[in-house]
Amino acid sequence: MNLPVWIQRDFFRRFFIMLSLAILVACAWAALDTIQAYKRSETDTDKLQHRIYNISTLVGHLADMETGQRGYVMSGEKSFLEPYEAASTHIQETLRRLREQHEGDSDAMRELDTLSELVERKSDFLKMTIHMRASGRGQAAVELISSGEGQRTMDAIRGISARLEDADRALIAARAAELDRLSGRTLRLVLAGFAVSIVILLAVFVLFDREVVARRLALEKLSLYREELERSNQELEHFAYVASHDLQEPLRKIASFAQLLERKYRHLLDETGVRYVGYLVDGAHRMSDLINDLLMYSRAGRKSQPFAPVDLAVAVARVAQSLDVAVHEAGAMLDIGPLPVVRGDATQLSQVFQNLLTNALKFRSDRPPLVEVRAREHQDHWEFSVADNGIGISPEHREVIFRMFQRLHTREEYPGTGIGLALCKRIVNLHGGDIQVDSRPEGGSVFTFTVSKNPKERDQT
Amino acid sequence: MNILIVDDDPADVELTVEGLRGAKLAIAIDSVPDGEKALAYLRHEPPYQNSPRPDLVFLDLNMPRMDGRQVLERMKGDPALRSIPVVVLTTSAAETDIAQSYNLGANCYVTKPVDLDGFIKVIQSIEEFWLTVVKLPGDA
Repeated sequence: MNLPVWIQRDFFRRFFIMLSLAILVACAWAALDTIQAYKRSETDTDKLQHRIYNISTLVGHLADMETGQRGYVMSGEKSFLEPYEAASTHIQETLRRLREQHEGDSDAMRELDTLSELVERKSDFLKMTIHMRASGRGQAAVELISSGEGQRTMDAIRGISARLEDADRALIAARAAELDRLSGRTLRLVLAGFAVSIVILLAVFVLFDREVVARRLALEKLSLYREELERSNQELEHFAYVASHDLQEPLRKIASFAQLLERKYRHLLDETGVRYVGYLVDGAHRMSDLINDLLMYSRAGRKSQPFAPVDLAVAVARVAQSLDVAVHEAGAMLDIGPLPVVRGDATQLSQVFQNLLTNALKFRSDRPPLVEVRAREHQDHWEFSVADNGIGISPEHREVIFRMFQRLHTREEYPGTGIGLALCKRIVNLHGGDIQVDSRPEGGSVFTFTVSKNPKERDQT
Repeated sequence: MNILIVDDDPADVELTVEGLRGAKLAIAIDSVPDGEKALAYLRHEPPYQNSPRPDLVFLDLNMPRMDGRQVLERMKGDPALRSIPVVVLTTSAAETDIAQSYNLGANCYVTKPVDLDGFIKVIQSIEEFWLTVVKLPGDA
């Protein structure tokens, strides 16, 4: 399945994973928030329950006092006054607590004010009747009680306290309902959030997995292609070797017998005949050279040894020494600057310098040849230059000369098959670099080529 | 002196003969084009019943029907033929061929030079060494 490109982007994968994590975090936060709401509600309910308790306590106290009063007024027994005394001390404390608990609620405070008045009236009434009994006016006390005044006050008190209690009860119920709603909503939210984030994560991982599989398949295919390429290259190499080897045999025959013909039957040949034979021999030799060069070129494409450190100073010194005779013949001077150690194939790199130096000597001008070899370091590669003061190369030929068997002069003017520079280019490319030629303003050419500091070996890619 | 050239290429045979021309000693040269005939010659089998025993054999490696390696093996395995010096003369310069030839008992291994002059020089030096410098079995 062809995945749209954007899914394969790392960024989008990460984004979606972060998104689902964010959703999970939000769910957790919502859950925590609801738990806190529960706790708050518990505290509030507690308070409300306390209020209800205090109200009923107040009424209870008053009832106790009433009972005590009645008992004492009826019987004159002092023991009835004990509960009365006990209760009356608590009344004010309870009232005070009630005021505290209803702070901020102006309606409730008004009710409490009324309640306080009534409680005071009731207390006074009770005190009065008790006092009457205590001072011998028991009958009058009874009459007062039967008048119902105390009873009426008590009813009013009960009324207010009932209202207060009902209000509080309603509050409790409202809070509970609200909490139910909140927790229900939170639960739904959290479930939805989990579902969404799990779906996102699953999608990401499934798609990611597909991508990994696709990538692995592509890599396998790549390595399979690479193997085939290697094999095909090897076959080609072998073919080139065998072909060139088998081609040399008949050439040898042509050259050898043409020469024998010339030697043994010279007396039968006229000048033209001798010339013809010369062309035969020359042709055979040239073909032999071409085949050898072709073979060398094809072998250069495939390095024989793995890359190793090559001390170019040593290698180039050796090349210069091998050219000693040619240098002397040409009256030339080689100026070789400091050269570094690079990674590569020593034989091939030597070949490059050999070709360039040979060319510099071969294509010389009237002045005694002066060849400069320099090296310059760059961040990830080395740059080498071989500069001469020879006949130079005109700009339109700058690229062409690196082609196989490309020559700019006739064989009479300068010998050679024209493979030298193509070989240099091939070797330099193998070492991760490139080669070019420029003309020098003072005459002559300078060949510059680069060698990578970390050339990729073919077997490694 | 009798020399046997074993080579399937008549041109090469002719070149070798050309190289041997001008030898100090009088030499009689015979040639056979493949391994089977070479052994027949050496064993005096028909049609070579009257063949002389060669004092030196030039042996090419790559021949049809039976190649030089097999001839070498049989020659050096045959007590009657073992003492005849064999010069392997071939176009191949492969290390494997060189090693194998010596392993099979070749007396020496020479790669045919590519150019005419070189070839002639090599043949002449072989002839000079083996036929005048070296002592061969059966010399009077």
